[in-house]
Amino acid sequence: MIQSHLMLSRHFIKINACIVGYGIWIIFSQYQIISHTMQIPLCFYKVDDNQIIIAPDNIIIDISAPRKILQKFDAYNSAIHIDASTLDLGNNHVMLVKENLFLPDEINLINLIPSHVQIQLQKVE
Amino acid sequence: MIVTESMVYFANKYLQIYSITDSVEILFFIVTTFKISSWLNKDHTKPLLLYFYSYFAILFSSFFFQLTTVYHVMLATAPIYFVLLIVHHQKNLQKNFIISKNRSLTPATTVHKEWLETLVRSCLIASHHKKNVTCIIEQFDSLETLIEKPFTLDIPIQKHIIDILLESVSYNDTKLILVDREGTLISMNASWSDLITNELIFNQINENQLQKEYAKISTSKTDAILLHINSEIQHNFIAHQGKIISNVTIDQALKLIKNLLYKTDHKISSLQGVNHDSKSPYAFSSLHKN
Repeated sequence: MIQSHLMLSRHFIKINACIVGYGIWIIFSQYQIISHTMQIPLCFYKVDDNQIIIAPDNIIIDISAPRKILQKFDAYNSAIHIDASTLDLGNNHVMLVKENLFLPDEINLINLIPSHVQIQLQKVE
Repeated sequence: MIVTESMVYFANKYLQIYSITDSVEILFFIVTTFKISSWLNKDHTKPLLLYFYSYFAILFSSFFFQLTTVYHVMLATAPIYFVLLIVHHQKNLQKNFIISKNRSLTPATTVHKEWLETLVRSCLIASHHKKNVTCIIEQFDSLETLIEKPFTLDIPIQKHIIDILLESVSYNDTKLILVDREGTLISMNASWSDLITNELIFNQINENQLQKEYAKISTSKTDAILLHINSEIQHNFIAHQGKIISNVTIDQALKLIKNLLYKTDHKISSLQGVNHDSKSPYAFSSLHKN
């Protein structure tokens, strides 16, 4: 009796409608190609201890991929990776490319803002 | 600000919602599902909502656990499930019923299983009142051209109705009572058509024998069974396949007619492949010999 009452309650139907509605959307949108814009940090590797790098903190990226792939890609923990050993002392003009992001093949990079960054490499005394 | 960012992060990372358009789409599906669920919930006769949820539970489970075949089958057969839900919905059934009201509805008739006993019992009562009764049981061959019906009754045989009709002054005991094999009284005071009477026009036949001759002709042309119950017991007879069995008791007559009716049923079921027993004990000729 309680079970049937619960089944017929409007709140129960509403909650289930949310679950079912979302489920239907997820099923049908899995292979839909979407684009996602996000802000990611600029990171440097192979940095000497006596070096200081002055560069923008974040870069805005615009990527596109099927929703299923994008969900597996941990965009919030990704970053632009730049090899500091390739930089010269002083001002460096670096063009950012897909490879700096270590993106999987299924994900396309649409845009990077800015696509070029000014990086200043200084030596600490 | 932090709350908004957290919500966006949660939506992106866990719900795969990346934009406002995604939210609008989800909202559309939620509203549609809610409307459908509410409509299904209005049917109080069947648990349609439960079937609806069960379908999605299977679909989502197969998707989540990557049961690819189940998932694709469920998705491909989805229209069938939804059509079934719509068709079986109480409101729809009611609507169909209202539509069908425009057509001529035939009321459910309760045919008495022992209609033959009821008929014979009433005929016996009539014979005690010095009335002859000739019943012709129409089977699969139509008697339309052989019998002229003054009116059509089309009512299931019931004791009181038959008694009233046979006791009525309008009842003519030289005429026929037409009954079908389902136990429906089709007509009374029916007479032989010209097709039958013309066959005997040049023959000199005794008045007592006339009924038998008509019975022979009519039953030889069709699969009908004719039962004549006379006020004098020695004149009772049954006719089938152009053969006459005279001097039968009422018990024998009942048994014989039942066997003949059963034989026809048996034949049909054999044709349908239900029973292949060729040794049928219900042949009219074998009973006739006995």
